[in-house]
Amino acid sequence: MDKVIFRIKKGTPEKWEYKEYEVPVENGTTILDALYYIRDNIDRTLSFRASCRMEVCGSCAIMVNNFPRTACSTQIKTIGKKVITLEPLAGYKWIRDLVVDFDEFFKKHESVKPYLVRKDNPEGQLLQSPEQLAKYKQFTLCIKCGACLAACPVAVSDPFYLGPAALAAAYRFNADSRDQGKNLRLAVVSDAEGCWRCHFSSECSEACPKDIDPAGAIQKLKVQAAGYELKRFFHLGVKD
Amino acid sequence: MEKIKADLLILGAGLAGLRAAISAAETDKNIKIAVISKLFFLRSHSVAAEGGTAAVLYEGDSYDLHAYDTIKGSDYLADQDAVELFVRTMPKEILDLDHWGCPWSRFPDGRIAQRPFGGHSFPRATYAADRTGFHALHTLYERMLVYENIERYQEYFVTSFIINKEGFSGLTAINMKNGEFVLFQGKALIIATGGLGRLYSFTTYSHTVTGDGAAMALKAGMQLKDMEFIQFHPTGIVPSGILITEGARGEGGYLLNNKNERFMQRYAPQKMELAPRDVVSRSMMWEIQEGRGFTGPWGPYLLLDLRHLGDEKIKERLPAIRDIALKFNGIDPKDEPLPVRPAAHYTMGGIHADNDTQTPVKGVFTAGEASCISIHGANRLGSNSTAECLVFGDISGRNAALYVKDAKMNDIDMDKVKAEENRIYVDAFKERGSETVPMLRRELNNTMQEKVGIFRNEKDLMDALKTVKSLQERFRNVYVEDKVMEYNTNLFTYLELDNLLEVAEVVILGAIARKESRGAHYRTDYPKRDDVNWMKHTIAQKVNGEVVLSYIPVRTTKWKPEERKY
Amino acid sequence: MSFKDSLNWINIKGRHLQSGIAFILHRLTGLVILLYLYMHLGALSQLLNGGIAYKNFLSTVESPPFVALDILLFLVIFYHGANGIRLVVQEFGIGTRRRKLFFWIMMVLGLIGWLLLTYFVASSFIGGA
Repeated sequence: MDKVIFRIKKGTPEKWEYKEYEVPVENGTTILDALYYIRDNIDRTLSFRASCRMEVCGSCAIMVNNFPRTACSTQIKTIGKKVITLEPLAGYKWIRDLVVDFDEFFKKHESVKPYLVRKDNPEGQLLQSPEQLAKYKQFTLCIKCGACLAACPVAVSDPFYLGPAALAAAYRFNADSRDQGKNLRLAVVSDAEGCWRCHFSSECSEACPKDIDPAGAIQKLKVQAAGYELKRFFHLGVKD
Repeated sequence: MEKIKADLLILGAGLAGLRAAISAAETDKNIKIAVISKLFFLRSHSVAAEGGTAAVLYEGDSYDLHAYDTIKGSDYLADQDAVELFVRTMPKEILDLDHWGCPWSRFPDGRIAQRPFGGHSFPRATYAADRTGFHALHTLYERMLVYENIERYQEYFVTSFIINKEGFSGLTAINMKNGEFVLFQGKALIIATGGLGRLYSFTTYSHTVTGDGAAMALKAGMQLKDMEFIQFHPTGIVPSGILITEGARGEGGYLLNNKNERFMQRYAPQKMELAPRDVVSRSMMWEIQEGRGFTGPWGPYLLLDLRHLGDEKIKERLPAIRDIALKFNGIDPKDEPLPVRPAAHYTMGGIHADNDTQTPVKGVFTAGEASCISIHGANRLGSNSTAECLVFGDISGRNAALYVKDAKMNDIDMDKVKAEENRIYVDAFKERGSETVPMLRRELNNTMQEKVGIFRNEKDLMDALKTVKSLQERFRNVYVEDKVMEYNTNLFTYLELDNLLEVAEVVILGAIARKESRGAHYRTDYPKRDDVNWMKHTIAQKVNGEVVLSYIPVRTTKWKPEERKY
Repeated sequence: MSFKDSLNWINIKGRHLQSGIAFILHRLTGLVILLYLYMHLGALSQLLNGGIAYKNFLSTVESPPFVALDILLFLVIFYHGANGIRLVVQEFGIGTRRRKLFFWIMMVLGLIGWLLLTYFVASSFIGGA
């Protein structure tokens, strides 16, 4: 059984330090397994978020050796290091140990109107072919883990930037054939702190555990937003 | 102490809780609705549901058929009038989700797709790839953002119900971020807190599913029903217990033993791998007991073979399963079969309620897995739980909104509130013994897994009861070591363990008393179903601090109990 | 958020070459080019001092150390230009999943361009000097 040392940032913004813990690992042991091991056997005051342990709830995103990952799906042996540093997500307000404040993240998500907008109220199914579904399907997989904002160099230096998750969510609805609210959303995201704040550093796509390519979504959103702004500029009228 | 007032309080933000919030907001846009959860809403366990949501949508299917499948699947313990209401309300829920943006998988002509599922005699599981619960929950969350009268209280750990003679009055809670005490006051409450599967060590449940609602209801003197019925899902992947959806078998996967045979031939020749879960789980355990299983470093297992489905079909219909196998086991399902074993998965029992989701306590409603109406009786069919959450979430939201219109805010018993504050902030932190929360939790998990699992008998159950009682005693000497109040997970796990110990006792007592085998409750010392003496629901209630059992009859309409063969 | 936080974009820890590091270099080279633009305008404004003063000024800057700096400047410009073309194309949503390949193709093309230009400048300088 191999042993790995975890250096974990522990404490609150008033008082903190890096504490080291030794954890036995084998093939398949994940970072979340290690966190539970530490909390169950060594230090019961270690605080972290976790729930589903199967990379679908988005609770457990933390910085692992300076890169944001979901703890439950990151295998320790594949990292291949003897010492692993765990820190709370970069760019978020820090509460304690590995726990950060997610309120801002969800507020940004909410601001882009991430729900289906219909002008009418039809009876029966809204038909959609498998091809139409394929156009936006990958963007529906976002688990809102927040790793993308922690990876983005703009998001960690500009607190007002909407961020990849919110922008990818906006695109997900704009590309859904059942949606009728494209311009409502573009009015929100076509903003200095919206999609135009992105300069394609694409670290969000590197970090995304579900491989959604949020960077790609933001660029596609920019194309839509550009069309929207041109129409407005030439007073061609943008209807909601 | 922070004081928060609303007309309607909804505890729990999974499929049932969020659906209730939306229904309540649509019914009356002038009432103030507060949705409270110890998690951010999108982290709720509903998000792990994979396979599908059953509904009668197309030609060839019928309400009576769906009802019959459900009632037979429940081993005739379900209340048939409730089931009939359930199957008739379901189709509307699918359409609602569609109108709200749920990315349902589609047939080539654009209609919402459905697939076969265990125990259903028509392929009626509506699905969104193999992430149905995930997409449904996200759709409900996104839709909920539209309503201005819904306030969100995320990461508030509710610790007790304050109920007086007039009915519901309030909730005590902890603001998890700063550790402060909170008092919620409301005219009505909907309990949608989910199941209690973290009683077991090998389970598909998230770490946070600890039966909080059921435990608090029990402590407040409410009735729990049918608690002994715990469903074990046939295919939890070994060693993590992560769920491999029944949809994998619905798409044609095989279950194999170490002789490479599809052993379900011997137990359910007609439905084979798609027999109801209790039948398949027992069959698997018999195969293992009789030496036809595989042994490995994490215990015995059998194989789920998807290789013959082909890479394309797996990538299209079962992408999440493929992802799980690759990420957590390092296996590609197109090349190797998956190691699986039955895992604790669903709680058929719960807080006793009627078809309107009302509990006997005035102002308290309940919906979803936390409730027991009962739709699922002694065994739940796959794809019926996400369905139940939507239907009864909808019904409870509507009914609760109508109720609060004429209801008044009841007075809060401040003595109870002060006692609860003392229990959490003073008592729990008093340094005493040397045992810790993780120690007791592990022992509880092992005891339940070994003695209150798929096969039960008198001796094991009595041993388990003794152990749980002793754990409850030993728990009094456990204390919270972490003194930092911001996001104190030591305190939260302490309270969760208290809840688990509370409900474990009820599960075991129900199992000991029920001297028959029905659905998921199987006793090797009473292996037959006994309709003469046991066609009734177990009611558990705390009277003077002790759990007392009583019984109520099952309501039937059209269907008479028959022998359950698949 | 403090002023120190607003510099967090320069952090290279945990960043990838074709993504975050390319981004940092793009911003830094952009700043260098902007600075050079001001210097260049400053240099051109020497014309205001008349033809002879300008000729004297030119003979100062047409010396080996300045030419070497110029060649370094070309590297900066070729990086910014090559990466820039990649960014223009990719920000239309084209090939965002194949950014690593795209980055390296543009880097190779940029490098070739820089080497060619260096060769011409150096050879004409050595020839002329």
